[in-house]
Amino acid sequence: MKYTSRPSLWRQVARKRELLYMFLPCLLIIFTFRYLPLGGLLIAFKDFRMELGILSSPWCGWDNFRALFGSEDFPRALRNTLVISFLRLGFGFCAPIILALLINEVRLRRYARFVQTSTYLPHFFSWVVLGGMFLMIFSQRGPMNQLLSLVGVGPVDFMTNDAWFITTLIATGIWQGVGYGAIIYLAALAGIDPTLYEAATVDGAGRWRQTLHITLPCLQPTIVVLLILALGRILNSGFDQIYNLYNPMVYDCSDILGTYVLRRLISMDFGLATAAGLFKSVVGLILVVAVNSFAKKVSDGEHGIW
Amino acid sequence: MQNGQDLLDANSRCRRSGTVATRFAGVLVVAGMLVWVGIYLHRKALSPSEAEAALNALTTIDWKSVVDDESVTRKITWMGGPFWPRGQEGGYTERLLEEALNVEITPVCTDKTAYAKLKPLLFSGGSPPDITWDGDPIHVQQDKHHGFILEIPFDVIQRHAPTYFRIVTENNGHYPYTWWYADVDGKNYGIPNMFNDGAFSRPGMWRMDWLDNVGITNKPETLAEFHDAFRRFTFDDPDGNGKDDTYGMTGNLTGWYTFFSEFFGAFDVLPFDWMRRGDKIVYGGIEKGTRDALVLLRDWYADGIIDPDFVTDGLGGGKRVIKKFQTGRTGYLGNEAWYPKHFKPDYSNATVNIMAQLDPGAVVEAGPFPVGPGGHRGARYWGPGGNVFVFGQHLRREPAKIIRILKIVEHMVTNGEEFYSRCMRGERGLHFAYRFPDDGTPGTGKSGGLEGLPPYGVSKDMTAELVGPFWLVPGMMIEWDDAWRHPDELAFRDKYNKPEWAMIDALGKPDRIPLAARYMMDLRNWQLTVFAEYIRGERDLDTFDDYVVTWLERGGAAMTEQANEYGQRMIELEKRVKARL
Repeated sequence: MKYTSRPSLWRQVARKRELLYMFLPCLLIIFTFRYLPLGGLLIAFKDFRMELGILSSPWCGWDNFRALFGSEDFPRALRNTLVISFLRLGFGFCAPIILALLINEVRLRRYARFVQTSTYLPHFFSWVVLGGMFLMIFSQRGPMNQLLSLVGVGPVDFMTNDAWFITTLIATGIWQGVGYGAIIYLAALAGIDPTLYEAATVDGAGRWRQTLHITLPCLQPTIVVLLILALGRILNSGFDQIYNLYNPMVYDCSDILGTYVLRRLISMDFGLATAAGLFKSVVGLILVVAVNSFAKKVSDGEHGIW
Repeated sequence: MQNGQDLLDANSRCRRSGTVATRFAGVLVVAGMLVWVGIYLHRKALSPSEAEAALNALTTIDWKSVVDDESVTRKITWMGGPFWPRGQEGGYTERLLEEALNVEITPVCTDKTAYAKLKPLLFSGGSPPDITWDGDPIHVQQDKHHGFILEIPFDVIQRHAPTYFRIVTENNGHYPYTWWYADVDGKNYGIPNMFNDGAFSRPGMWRMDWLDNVGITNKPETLAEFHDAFRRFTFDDPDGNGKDDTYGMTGNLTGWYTFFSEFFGAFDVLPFDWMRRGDKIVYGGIEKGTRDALVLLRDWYADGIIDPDFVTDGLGGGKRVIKKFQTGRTGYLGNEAWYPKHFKPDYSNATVNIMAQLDPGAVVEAGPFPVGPGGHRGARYWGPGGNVFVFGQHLRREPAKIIRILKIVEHMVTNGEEFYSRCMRGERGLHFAYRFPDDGTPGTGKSGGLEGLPPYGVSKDMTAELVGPFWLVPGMMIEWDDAWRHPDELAFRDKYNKPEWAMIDALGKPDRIPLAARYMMDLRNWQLTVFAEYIRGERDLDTFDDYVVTWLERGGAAMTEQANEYGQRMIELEKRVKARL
């Protein structure tokens, strides 16, 4: 029996050096902008004085975390962030999948392209512009309430009632992101082997059956990967949108970690802001690892990021 | 075959033991590195007392030996007020000062958003400007906390800029706030400028044609008259279009300093500021007057005379509030009556000019603040204390630059109104002209005011030349500033922008105390929510005492104690500076 040992690491490196050279710039960028700044996390444990630098600033132990969890606003911001994020995930995660499936079913390619373009256009508008637009549309005497009054409803406090504000936030967020989010799914749909559909047609499967038994299973790996990534960002619940839409009447339900950290940064309270940022990252990491393990377990190791 | 299997097993065992050994070594190396990094980090960190000593050493110098050789050209990076984003190197004002004082100025020009990001980057990145504009006292405190800026004792300022020291100290009779903003723990950290416009109040503006249409002949003066006018504006179809589409007023809630200020002023309170009551300093937001004003606003809201969108109208800088007045949705615009912004005939964006196009029948005039039950009237204003210019601590290696900057400041205020005007408004005949050049001496108020000459009539061209107040140190000085204003504007100011109606925070600005950095922003947001709920009737005003207790528990009590301590410090500073005159 012939025994072949695995080539050594160095031999592998030498053999694939061209690929590694190509990878090097990416590695440098990631190291410089993603790993080196991790040193700044020390600020969470320091009475940070910029002129002394991170290393020379005196330690303050867990003081920043104590102040963070002891404040009235942080737990509220955390609660709001989680509520808004899970609502976004619940309603917003499926929307691009449904849109991609619908566009995929359209046979008139020109119409499909038009729908695709017009749905991902809002992604390119800044929330500063969209914020002004929605404030006008959803005001007490704005176009939306005028439409509702035609059917005898309202006026509805879209922007100042907690429940309606969150609903508006989720709905406008979906409107803005659905088209752009569908791009990845459309790419995945384009990669499905057409012979699968041909075989299904021969077997007598209609469009609905084909969607259930071919399209969705083929999309499953993409959905799982995007879901894991989305959970990693669970504590980033759309700062731009909320910052441009929230107002004193809804601070209680819309003051999120992003707006809380911004207030700390404006006060140049870097210690507290870094402590809040570190907390967000740790929660994000735990979620990604947990969901990835779960996804691998239920799919017998087939799905997952690593 | 058997031999081959043995060989494989042995190989596998060997590899396994090799892997275990490699892993163990790896763990040891990583653990060792972590311990080494831990020890290194621990040794590098200073103790709190060492850190204070190190920062003090960085931010103080021995001024006795510092002299400025005037034959040496000083290169100065100058980050002025962030209102000149188009400012360019080589602008008119820069050239003027370079020629007069043997300096080479490199201007750093930004808008306010870019400034907030750029300033910490420049300081922490090791390339701080020599002189930097700080908007609020809290920024001076933060700069001092981080060790960015040099202490500059009064002695030094008085020695090299005695006239400017005197002008600032006297500053239109409102002296304490100005130096107070540059003070941190009893030491002076910069040179303040003046904002004389802040001394004047800005009452409301009325649709006079609407008042006429609903049968009101005089501008409302009392709260009852305001209420009556708002009711008629809402229910008596003041624009005569046959539609129920008008309100008395709306509000600006996102700017806490404009939150229905004149109606709180009628009850003699500033709801978001420190107020002096006898020898004590109290927070206006928990005073009985605040509750009374909220009762009034709640009743008015329930009457339907306040636009229900008042909570969101202020988002985005309050433009929507003004637009609603200009487009005939509301008949009263609070806290806005300022001549250059709304009434200046040759300013195309002035409200009167916009409304002349939208509705030629519209007549707009300013009116006085409402008088409250105790006979009080007024609203919140920033006061004439302005901003502070601070010096980067890197200048301890070249402190002569600071002396040269002080000489620039002194030169600007000792070489006559003409030189001051050239710094602030450019060259007469090139950038601007007086309207009645033969009708009086500039500075007497008889010059007819200043008008920009093409192309400098447009503010962007002026700012590209770095021409304007606030980029430089002195800001605006009232005696010379008046020469630039139109007689109509001065008459308007005398009639409506009365300084006695301007209510100013007992400490100048509410965030003057250090604890404000930790508590004030969160508490202010919460307070805005609670007040909006009170006005909309969503929270019972019987719970006002509970609100007060919560405010005190959430940091208000600690801040009040510190505000009283700082009130005392302010008085002591006043005595110290007065003794120098």
